[in-house]
Formats: sequence, C-alpha cells, structure tokens
Amino acid sequence: MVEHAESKECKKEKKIAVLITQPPYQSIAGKEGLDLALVAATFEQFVSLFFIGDGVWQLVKNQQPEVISQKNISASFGALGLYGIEHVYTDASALKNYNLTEQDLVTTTQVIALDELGSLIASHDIIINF
Amino acid sequence: MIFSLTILGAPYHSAAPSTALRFAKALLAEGHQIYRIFFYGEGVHVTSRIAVPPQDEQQLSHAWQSLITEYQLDVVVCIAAALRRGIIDKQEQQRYQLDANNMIKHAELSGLGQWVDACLQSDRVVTFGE
Repeated sequence: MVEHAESKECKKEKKIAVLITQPPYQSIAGKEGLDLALVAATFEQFVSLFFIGDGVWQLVKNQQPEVISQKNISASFGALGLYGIEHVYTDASALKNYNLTEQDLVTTTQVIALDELGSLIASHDIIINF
Repeated sequence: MIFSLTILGAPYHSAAPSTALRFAKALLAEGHQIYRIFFYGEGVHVTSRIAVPPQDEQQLSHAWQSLITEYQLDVVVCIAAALRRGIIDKQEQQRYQLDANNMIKHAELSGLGQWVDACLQSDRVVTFGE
C-alpha cells in the first residue's frame, strides 16, 4: 500500500525523453516526435528532446523541402523554447560524423557524447523513440 | 502494476505490433492492468480491420481486435496520425464525406493528450517502436 501511495504522488509530472533518430523527409517520424513532445510540454510534463544519429539532420539550417512538396519542420525545432522545451540534446558523434557543427543547427543544444547520453536518457520515466 | 503500451510500428514493416500483442497477453496473464493501448505513427495501420493477408498468415488487426474485445481494453488511435494514413471511423467518414470506414471496433480516435494521460496514470509506459 505504501508503494501504491508513493506512485500516486509522482503522477503529477513525468520525465519524458523523446528520441529522434530518423532524418527529415525520409519519413514523418521527426514531425510526429515533435508533435508528441509539444503536447507533452503543453500538459506541463518535463520533456527532453534527444537528436541521435541521423536525427541530427532534423536541426540543420537552410532546409528547402518545398521543392519536394514537403513542409519545413526545422523552424518548429528552432522555437522549442517558446513551447516550454528547454532540454535539447544532440549526439556529438553524429555531428562529428556528418561534419556538422553547432553553428549549422537551428537551435542551441547541449552536445553530449554518446556514452553519456545513455545515462541521461535512462534518468527519465518514459522513453519514446522516433 | 499498471501498464500502457505505445505502438509505433506498422505490420509487415515492423515486428512492433505483434511483439506488443504478445507482451499485452503476457501482462494480462500475469495479472497486471493495462490502462491504455495507444497507436501512433505507422502503428495506426494495425487498426485497419480490412487487411486481407493470405490464409496461412496471421491477421494482426483481427488478433488485436479479439484481445481488445475480450479484455475491454482502452484503445486510442491518434487522430492526426490516422487521418493522414487513411484510418477512418464512422464519425470521420461522415465528417469528411468519405465512401468507407475501416477502423477496428472498440477503439477511439483521439489526440496525443490521451497519451500524456496514459503516462500519468501508468506505472510503466512501454513503447514498441518502428
């Protein structure tokens, strides 16, 4: 019963980690991951966004998806702070692999080494991977 | 324990929906509660009841329908993800004046707020990805 009471206590807010591992335009996963993160933030949950592997391409500046009849969602990723999402992390090894720097991205992020990302992600109650 | 499941993968593209089905059965067999099953992203394809695979293959949406009906599970299909992929219930058929509907019974089209609610009400939220 004690355990049950404690779990009731922590029902007010959960720490949710939204992982984006897919690049834009190949699938809609990035957009759907963003939508989920925004809704969770609207409902006053603690939301962290992680851009891992190919997912870092979601954040690259100067995308012109209009020429392939796609919507540009990188603008939304640039305005995450407005939606209450302040914890944004990118995978340092992915940036390095693709020869990208923080200056290439639409938003400021915390660039974290892959081995440290693991424990950071594990500190969340709920992890969802797009 | 109280569980909720998020399903992001589509039949034939991903093992997620069939793994999630077996996981749900195992939970119920062990006496756990399932608060909600949430279909999102490509996972909404599971809820088309009109797929016709060859007779010697599993009909996944029928298998899910049986479990949902037997245990009266709370099932939410993300409305935005469903509409853009052509998963339609009677109400949306009327709203958009379409010539058919195809969604399984005892499931509800609703928003991502239902996913956040499931996060708050459950001890564990398990995601079955793409």
